[in-house]
Amino acid sequence: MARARSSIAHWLVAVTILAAPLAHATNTSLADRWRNYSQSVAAAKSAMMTDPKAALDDAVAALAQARKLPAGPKARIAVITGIWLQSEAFCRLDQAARALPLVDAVLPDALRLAPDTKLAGDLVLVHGRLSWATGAVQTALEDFQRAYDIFGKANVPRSQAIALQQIGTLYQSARDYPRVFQYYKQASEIYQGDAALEITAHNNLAEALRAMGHYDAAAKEFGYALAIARKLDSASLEVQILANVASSRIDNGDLASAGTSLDEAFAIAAKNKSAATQEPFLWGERAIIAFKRGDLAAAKVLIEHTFAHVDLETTEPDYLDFHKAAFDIYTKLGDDHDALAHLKAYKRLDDAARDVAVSTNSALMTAKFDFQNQNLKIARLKTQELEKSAQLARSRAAFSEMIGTAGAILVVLITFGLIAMRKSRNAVRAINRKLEDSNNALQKALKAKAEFLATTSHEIRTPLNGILGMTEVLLTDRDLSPSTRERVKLVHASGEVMRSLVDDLLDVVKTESGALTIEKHETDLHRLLRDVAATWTDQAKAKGLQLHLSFARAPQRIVEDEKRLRQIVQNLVSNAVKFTDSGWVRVEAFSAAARLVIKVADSGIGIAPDDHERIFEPFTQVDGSVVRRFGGTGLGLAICRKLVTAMDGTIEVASTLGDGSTFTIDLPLQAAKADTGALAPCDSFGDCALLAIAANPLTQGVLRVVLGPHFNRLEIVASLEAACTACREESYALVLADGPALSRDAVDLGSQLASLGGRERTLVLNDAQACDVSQELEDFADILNKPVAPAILLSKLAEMRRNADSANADAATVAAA
Amino acid sequence: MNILFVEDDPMNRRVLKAMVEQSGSTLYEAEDALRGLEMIEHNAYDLILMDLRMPGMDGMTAIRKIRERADEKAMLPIIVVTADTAPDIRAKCIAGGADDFIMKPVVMATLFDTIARTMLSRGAAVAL
Repeated sequence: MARARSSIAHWLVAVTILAAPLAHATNTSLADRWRNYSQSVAAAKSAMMTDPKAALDDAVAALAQARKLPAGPKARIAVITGIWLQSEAFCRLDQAARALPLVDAVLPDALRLAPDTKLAGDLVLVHGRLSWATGAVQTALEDFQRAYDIFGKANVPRSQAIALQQIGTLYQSARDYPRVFQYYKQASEIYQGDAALEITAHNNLAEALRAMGHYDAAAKEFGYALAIARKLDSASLEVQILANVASSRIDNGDLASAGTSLDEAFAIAAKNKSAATQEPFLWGERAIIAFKRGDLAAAKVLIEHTFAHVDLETTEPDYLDFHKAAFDIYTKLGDDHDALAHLKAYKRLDDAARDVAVSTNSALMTAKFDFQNQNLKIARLKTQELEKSAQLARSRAAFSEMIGTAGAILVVLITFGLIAMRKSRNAVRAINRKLEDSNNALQKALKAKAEFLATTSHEIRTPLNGILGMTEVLLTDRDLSPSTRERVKLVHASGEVMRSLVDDLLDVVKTESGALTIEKHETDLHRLLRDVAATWTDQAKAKGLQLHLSFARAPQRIVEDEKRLRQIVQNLVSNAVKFTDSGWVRVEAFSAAARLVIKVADSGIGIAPDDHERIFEPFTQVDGSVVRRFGGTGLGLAICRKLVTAMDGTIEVASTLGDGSTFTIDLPLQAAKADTGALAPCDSFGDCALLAIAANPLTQGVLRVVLGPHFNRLEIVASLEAACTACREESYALVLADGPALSRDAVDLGSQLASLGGRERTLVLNDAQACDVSQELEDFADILNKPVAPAILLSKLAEMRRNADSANADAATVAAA
Repeated sequence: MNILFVEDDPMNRRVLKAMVEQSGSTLYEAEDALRGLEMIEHNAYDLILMDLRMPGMDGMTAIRKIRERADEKAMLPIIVVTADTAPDIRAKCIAGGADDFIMKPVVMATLFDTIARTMLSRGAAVAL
């Protein structure tokens, strides 16, 4: 029922006003002018609730005084405050069209001069109310959400609650009761302890619950609202709520207690002038009860009281239910003339209400289809909208039935009724079609987006395969001149960037559509971190950065989605290297209290506090110029957050502009089972590093598959030359060479190979048929003739490892002696 | 090794051919699934690389046809090479009879790792 709601919504406006801050005079020479201005502001605020006309005069006076103040930001804010008060008054005087341009004119200044303040929020909020009043529902919704954000930043939870209630009220007019419930609930969770706000919340929660058929829960909320009305000593509110209670009880079939509530309401109205205006509605509820009890004579008298002093052609929505009651009563009595008059009035109001519901619905739906609101569950939306269409159709059908059962009606009424029925049936059909159309359009748009991205990804991957594949093949050609190699590398790197873009886009689609799955299995965390660090070593070195990695305090084997965890860490380290020009990047992993914490810290450009939240939103890079300098989609961190959330963890950033950033991932730690004998083959070679020389890519693949799981570090290079470079940078416990890879470096092969590690630590796989190097190398390395079974290779390497260890031990003993 | 690549895109065939030839293996090409099945009928390959989206018969159907054969060729190692990024594509391929799966664009190391893993898990004597 609309009447109590609309009155209580005015309360909301009043509440906003009273809490607004006053501008204070500071300059003594201007003290008088400031004092006058402040007095007008205060007067406007205190009059706003009871006498908006007087409030408007005060606001106009305040505005005039503000304009006389010496120019400057403070005076400008004073002017804005005056305009805000004026707009609030216009809003209450139902003159939204006059107020809207005023607010539009000062809103940009308010947001610039007083960003994230209560004044800015209040202006946005009133802009929303005015927009709603002029039919711009979508703008209203956006304004309310924005006001909510501003109030959040200004730290005024009370105003935040008001903004949420406004959104709830918006959904109320769209008859979307579950959402009404949700927003009012949220509002009361954010802020409690303000009687006026609470009474609105309880009353409107109750109305939503009642509309959803939860009468017991509604009764409880009405009870709270009543208690507050009594505490406020507001007879008018108490009577309104009692009328709502009665109406809800009637809906629930409990006529006796509905009557009791009405008696109570009448008693209060009789004693309080302010509540007397509610009496017509109380009579109306009584009429409905009498009619339901079959007492037609009493019902007629009561409903006549309700409509005694109103013009049936201009009644307000508050009368909707009573027109229907009057129609029922007069029809039963055979008074077709009066029945017809009320049917017309009912239809007029019902059409208007339905129009509001439909236009609000489609506007809200448009707003929902917004990339900002990715959390909205489209599936739920769809069923809700369809249900709503069905409900609308049902209520219209019930109305038609009602007309159909009116037996002894004059031909003219029947004709009118039929036309009305047909019209309304057509209208309902049209509206349902419209709702379904917009639903379908929404669905199609989302599906089209997903399909478009999937197809684009497929189509881009195919030419990328040509670019990346062929450049990779080219780069294996050792005769390539250095300058050509550089250029081919550039093409290849560009292709890689393009590939990561396509991958990122697909990941976003997956997270949006809920297709993201986390597959946990046993994983070597240390190896994962080492791999990621290794990927960035070269780039870090090229920029002169120190790249530190520490995982001593983290378990080696965990149960986690390796691919996704790798993606997250990769992303963070990539960012750290990208945004750091000098200093260091540190990757640290440790476990504490069943949590795994991974920190990626850098000494880079840092992130301003205001952007700490924004960087996790899709398509955001803090500074536009950053994109030009560093490239990237700005999707990486958004994906990271989605992934970490899907893994039941959190990701946070701590950073100061110009002073580096630290990203911290916190995940639930599931350590692998203690008994990992077979799964921990690293034991056989300990912390041993192996350098393999193999030119043939298939041989490289076999070595990676066979040896990879057994060595903590496995480096495969294509030539002896590359092996020498690798050995200068790192030390390797064992060296393995594929014979055919050595044959090309014929000059002084043996001593070159020996320089890598010596005979005890070097193994050559000799191809006796194609290129026998066994004689040439037997003094410098251990030789195994091909073909070699993987198991034989492993046991040979294990043997060499043991010998090298004992040789080391002997050397140590000798040194000690 | 003798490898058959069933793929309709000539550029992709050329890229894979260049890669495979780096390893001393030979890549034979079939431009659609029917041609591929015919070549399998008449020749002996060590491994099949199979695209999924092709005009006419698609790759999954071709894999099923191979697996339904009565002779030992039903056991041929098959690796899917695709640009299809559906979330469950890998599981679908394995369930459909493929040994493994490679996503385009193909990285050489991934290609040969996957070939090596597939051949080793089949107990095949890969040259080392």
